[in-house]
Amino acid sequence: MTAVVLIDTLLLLLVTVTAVAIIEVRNLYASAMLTSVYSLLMALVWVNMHSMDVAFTEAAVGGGISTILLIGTLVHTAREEKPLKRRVHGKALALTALCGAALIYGTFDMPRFGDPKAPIHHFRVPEMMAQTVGFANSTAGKQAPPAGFDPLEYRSFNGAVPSVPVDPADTAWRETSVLAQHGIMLPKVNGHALHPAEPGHHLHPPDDFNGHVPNSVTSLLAAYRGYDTMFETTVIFTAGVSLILLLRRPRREGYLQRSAPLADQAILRVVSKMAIPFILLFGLYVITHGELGPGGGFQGGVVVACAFILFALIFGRPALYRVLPPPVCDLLTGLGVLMYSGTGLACLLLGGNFLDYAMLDPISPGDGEALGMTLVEYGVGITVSMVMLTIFNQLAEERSK
Amino acid sequence: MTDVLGIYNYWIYVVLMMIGLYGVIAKPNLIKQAIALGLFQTGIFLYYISMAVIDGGTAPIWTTIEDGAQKFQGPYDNPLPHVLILTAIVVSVSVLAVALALIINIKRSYGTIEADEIERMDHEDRLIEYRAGQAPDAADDAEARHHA
Amino acid sequence: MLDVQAHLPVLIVTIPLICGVLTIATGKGWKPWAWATAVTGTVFYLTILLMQQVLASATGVVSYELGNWPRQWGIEYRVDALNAFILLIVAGVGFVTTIYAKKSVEKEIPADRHNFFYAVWVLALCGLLGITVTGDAFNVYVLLEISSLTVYALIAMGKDMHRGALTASLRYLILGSVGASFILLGIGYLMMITGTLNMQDMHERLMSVPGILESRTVLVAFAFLLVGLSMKMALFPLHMWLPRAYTYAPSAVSALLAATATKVGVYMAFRFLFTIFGVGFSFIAMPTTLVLATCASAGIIVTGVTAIRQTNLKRMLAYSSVGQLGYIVLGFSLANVNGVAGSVAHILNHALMKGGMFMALGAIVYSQGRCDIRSVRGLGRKMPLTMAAFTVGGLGLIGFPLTAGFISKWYLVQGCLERPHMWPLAGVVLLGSLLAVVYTWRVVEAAYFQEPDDDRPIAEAPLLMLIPMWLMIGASIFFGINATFTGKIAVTAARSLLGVGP
Repeated sequence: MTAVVLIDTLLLLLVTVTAVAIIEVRNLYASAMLTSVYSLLMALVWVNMHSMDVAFTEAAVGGGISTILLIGTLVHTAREEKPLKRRVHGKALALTALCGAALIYGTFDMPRFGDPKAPIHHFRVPEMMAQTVGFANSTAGKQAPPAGFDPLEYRSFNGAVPSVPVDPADTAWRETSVLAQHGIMLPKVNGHALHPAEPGHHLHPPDDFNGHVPNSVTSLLAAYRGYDTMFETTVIFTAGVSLILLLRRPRREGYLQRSAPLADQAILRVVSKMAIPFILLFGLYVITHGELGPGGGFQGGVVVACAFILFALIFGRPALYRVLPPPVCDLLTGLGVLMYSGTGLACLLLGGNFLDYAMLDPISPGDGEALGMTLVEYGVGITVSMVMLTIFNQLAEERSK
Repeated sequence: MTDVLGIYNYWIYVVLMMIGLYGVIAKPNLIKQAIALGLFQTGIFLYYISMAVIDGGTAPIWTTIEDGAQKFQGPYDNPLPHVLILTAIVVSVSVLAVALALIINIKRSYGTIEADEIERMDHEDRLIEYRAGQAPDAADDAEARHHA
Repeated sequence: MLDVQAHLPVLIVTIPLICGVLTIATGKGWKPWAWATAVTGTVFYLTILLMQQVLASATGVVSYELGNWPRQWGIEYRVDALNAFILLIVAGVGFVTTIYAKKSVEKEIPADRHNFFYAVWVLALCGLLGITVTGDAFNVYVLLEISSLTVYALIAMGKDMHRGALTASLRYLILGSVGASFILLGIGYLMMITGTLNMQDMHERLMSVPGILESRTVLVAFAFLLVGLSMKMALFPLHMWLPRAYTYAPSAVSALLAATATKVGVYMAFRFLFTIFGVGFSFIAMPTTLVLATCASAGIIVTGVTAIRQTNLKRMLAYSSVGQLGYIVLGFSLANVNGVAGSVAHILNHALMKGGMFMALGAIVYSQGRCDIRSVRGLGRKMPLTMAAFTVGGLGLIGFPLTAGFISKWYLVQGCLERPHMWPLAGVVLLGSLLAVVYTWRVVEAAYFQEPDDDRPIAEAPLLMLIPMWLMIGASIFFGINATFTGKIAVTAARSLLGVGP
């Protein structure tokens, strides 16, 4: 039993117990706090599974924003759940048991956890991982493929593996993709680095980006599957607009004169005044650094929103409205989505397909891809932060008596 | 038995999903339903991420070179499920936000957030609507006009 | 500078996206509506161009790779005859309903929210169009969530008229999210087994790797996808969210939803069942035909009977919609050319007829404030054009010759009779028509043959409501008389889905 497996089992046990507690606890505030604990435990589970970006997002979004949303709602609704007539709902239990049995039946033919022979590790994804996908559609701004490279052969590779060797250390078969045959895939596990890094640079994949993107997750998010991310930004924008539609009420006179609720607590006031600038800076850092390490637009946007929300909690929402008036907030919400789709549209107008960042090469020679990815990450960051703030504002609106 | 050792972790994810699904179906409190929906979706995310793990792997971020020697030579985890789940987490929190906004409005209109009480009030609304919309037959009509 | 013809698939989705976001800046009064109408009109024109492009292309498929990444690695937009047809329907209905929306939204939604309302409206269309045009499995999920989220918000805006809109929307949210999560789970299982997300690539993988179709994982993926899609398609018995949602939503939203949302769910079922899994697995190896046909038939009969008992006319039409969706599902569950063609044709026909009928009911709500069987009495004389539209739509539901409903029912019955043991289904189709006769006749009788309760002056519906209404109903008559276009597209689509040659 390795340490990793032990930690994994312990964490999952904690997570399961917390999940049951969330469902069964009657006090809704306790349930909300347990949800926050659950999100943090989930983030730990994902760190254990080496998925840093996802852990970061879950901690920020699940642990941070969801808890704020829930508590903000509980203020307006109820403290406790009504006691149930029957402790256990028989029909629901039967239905979920059936569902669970079906799902478990389906797991029997799955590749085992961590299996390197799983189709997902050697079929299409290795090229994405090595960031060498663009060779087949070589346009200006993407690197030219090496001599003798056949795009048709590349596209029609069917992932067939004639036989899998018994020895787990023998992994050469995993790189039988066309690119490996041309010597383009990195890294080789048996220790031969084919492309030494230039002095002073990170080892970066031989990307057909002309920028350097060590974080493969960001390259997938912003470039290869950038279109999905654009719609994800739209989803969060839609949530913000829906909350405005459903909850915004006409401003009453005199609400801006209300005093700040927590500013008379000296410790809170002083500490938050010192911390808020750094939180904002950290948020900006996470957005910008997302290409080089874990992070990106979503995580950074949430952190920036947290800074504003902290300001509103300590100094009152009127102070927040002076700093960031609601019309500006609404405007910036849309600006992020427009930045993202605007980048795509710019690529369209410059002659390529939608979101083909290579077209941005004339603007920033040799680095068109990196410019495109940076722009869209900032677009995502702006929208996410402003929408989270909007949602907080709508939930915190005063009830008219 | 090695078969089971390799896939038992999927079973734990299934258990988590089913706890969430049970909460959605069984609990009458609307906020509990919203939270349980989130639990159900988190179980699915856990399943996706587990797909990405590879033996001896690490996070899919290329490492730096120091003194000409590579720090890490092993396989990297698969980044594709990570990307999909980033999207899915954000979608999940957006749905939660809209659900909570609806619940606040329901509290304002109905005065309660328990599904069985709301169902009862909806039923009464429908009875009233049904009776108002029913066409009385001709005899009632004539009688009403006669008395008016 | 911009070659529109080359970029049609992506423009159809991106223009509503950008313009939907910009709608918030359009201010107050009539400007949000005008902007939304301009946007939906442009998109409708683009879908016409795309249809022409698809029909003129050599392979019958228009493929667009986003970001210029090869399709096996990036996201691909893949448009064939089926897609282009449904895009045309969704964009067309969206355009006509937006014109119609001006009057009803003015009455039903508070004036300071109109710009946000139309923003969400246009984004809903963006989501629906995006689902129809994409060729990537995960992209479908993300766009499904966009279209669902916007629809939850749109339905809940009926709250100022009736608080039932809120519970309707929340119920749809919970059930819809569970359904979408099942679809996500199915996509995950498929990705684990095939290793890719592109629909064509997945299909080739499933067909080429030996033994993959017998694995339990694929079986469970298929089952969960089917359940999730049934929830989105509102297939009986997973249709519980639909009646309330259509009843309490604002009238324009009901008209839009009735004509588009569930049809896009059916399209998703087409893509997953026929394109990814293939006819051999979906219909021959698995008992899908039996399951779907049973649920659909039960749905047609049960909802038909329930519709007869309703006094609220919107709820009656909502139950009728579930029944008509049963026809569509029945058609494609037969897995022969006539059945699938009837299914595709009925998508168009139902969209036109139901959209028109919901618009008529919306006009009645506009003038009267409610639309139940009692308030409709005598309206045949006072609102003649509106009730005439409703009646013609009802004839279409029944399947009267010369209306579009007749064409699709003809294909469906032929499809049922072709399969040896399925002829009772033809009986179900005819029984459904009979039930439709009953519930349509109730309304016609009340409108034309009964006296109103009082003598209030009731004006005919405004022109801005009448024209869209009659555009839809007129189109259903046109496509009933001249069925060449519909028939050709439906048969082409059916053949390509079933994998038989043209």
